[in-house]
Parts: sequence; C-alpha cells; structure tokens
Amino acid sequence: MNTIKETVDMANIEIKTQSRNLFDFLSHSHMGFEGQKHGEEILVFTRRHWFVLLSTGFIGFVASILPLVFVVLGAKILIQYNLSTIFTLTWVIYLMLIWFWVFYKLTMYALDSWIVTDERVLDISQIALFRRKVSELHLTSIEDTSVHTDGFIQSYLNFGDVEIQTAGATQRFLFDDVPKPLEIKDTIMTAAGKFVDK
Amino acid sequence: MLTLFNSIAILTLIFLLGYWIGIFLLSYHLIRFGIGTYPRRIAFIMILGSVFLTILSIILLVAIR
Repeated sequence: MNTIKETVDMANIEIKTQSRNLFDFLSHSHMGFEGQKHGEEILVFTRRHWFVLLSTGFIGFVASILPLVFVVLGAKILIQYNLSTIFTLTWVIYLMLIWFWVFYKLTMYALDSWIVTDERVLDISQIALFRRKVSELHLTSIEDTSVHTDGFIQSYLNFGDVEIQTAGATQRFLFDDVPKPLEIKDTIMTAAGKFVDK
Repeated sequence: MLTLFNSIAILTLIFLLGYWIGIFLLSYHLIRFGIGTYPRRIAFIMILGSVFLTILSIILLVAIR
C-alpha cells in the first residue's frame, strides 16, 4: 500500500504533467496523420522547400508598399481634400487582402505534403479550400526511384524532385521541390527493401 | 440616412465580415488537416495579424467620422 508521501508525490507528478502552457499547442504536437495505422512508423514527412515561397513573399511585400507611390505623387491632393484618413483606411483594407492572399498560399504550402512510412507512401495535395487529394502507394509497388535537381539554386539549396516508378500502369508518384531529395530517395528504397524482406 | 460615412462604414463592415469568414476557413484547414506544429503557428500568426489590421481599420473608420 502506498504511503501518504508516495501518494502526494504521485499527485504532484500528475499535476505537473497536466499543467500546460497556454501556447503549448504551437510547440508540441503528436506527429501523426489521418488514417495512420496502429504501429505504422513515419520515416519521412516533408513539404516543399521554403524557396518556393520566396516569390509569394516578394510579391506580397512589393504589393503592400505599392500605395506609397500614390502617397508620394498625390500627397498634395490628399491633404487639400482631407482624404488622408480615407486613403489610409483603403490602404489597410488593401493590406488585409494581401495578408489573406499570402496566408492562402502559405496554407496550401503547409497542407501539401508527402509522407513515407514503413508500409506506404502518401501524397497529400491541397488543391484549394475544401479540395484535397490523398494518393497512396504501397511499398511493394515501388520499382525504382530517381532524383532530379535542376539548376544552380536547386543544387546549392539542396532541393529537387523525387520520382517513384511503380509496377504496372499505376500513377507516377512525384515529390516536387522537396528538400534533401537524395536522403528521401534512400529512405524510400531502404524502407521498400525492408518491407519486401519481411 | 445613407450618408457618405454610413456608406463607407457599411462597405467596410461587409468587407470585414467576408474577410473573417475567409480567415476562419483558412484556420480551419490549417488546424483540421495540418500535420505537426507548423500549420498551427501559421494560423496563429495569421489570426494575430488579422486582429491587428481589423482594429486598425475600425480605428480609421471612427477617425473618418
């Protein structure tokens, strides 16, 4: 039977494990996906390389400071007709539209992902809002994988495409613009080899 | 009476309503389908920025009056 001290200690441990920071959801999460089988281990989880987001960030930045041109050119008119507040309000609304667009792109980027487990390969494509496609490929169907890196930027930043060739007329599996493509290819081939040996 | 200020206020409020529906849909996708903490962080930053911009637009709307 537990002594009082042991019981108190156990209760303290329980309280400590239960007490969580308000923003814990931003740093702690169990790495699992919808439809994951019991005991299925995730070997690779990847999204596209951050470089593909650079154009979105650049367009968003340029578009958001574009109204400064009107401020410089039309400052006199804005002051003369007392339109500066209306202009600023319009600018803020315009900024909200850009903010929304940038985060729409980020959402599509974050939800477009590839998963390699010890049983299968999953290609999750977020085409648009409420339009999602999840393709699955069993490790036994993999015949070969190849890596394509094209140009200086892809070589320097170490990202590119990983293509999986499958047996039969099944669809081609392509991980496009993923970071460390060689490591992903090796992981897939090793996992496929292990799975066949089982 | 539909004054200039009232028209601007109504249009702004309709815009804000549509904007927040959009933000809700994006947050829903990020939290519902996102894997790991990265999508949640994106949702958090997006909502923080949206709150800031919404407050700013309301302050400016009041200033027009």
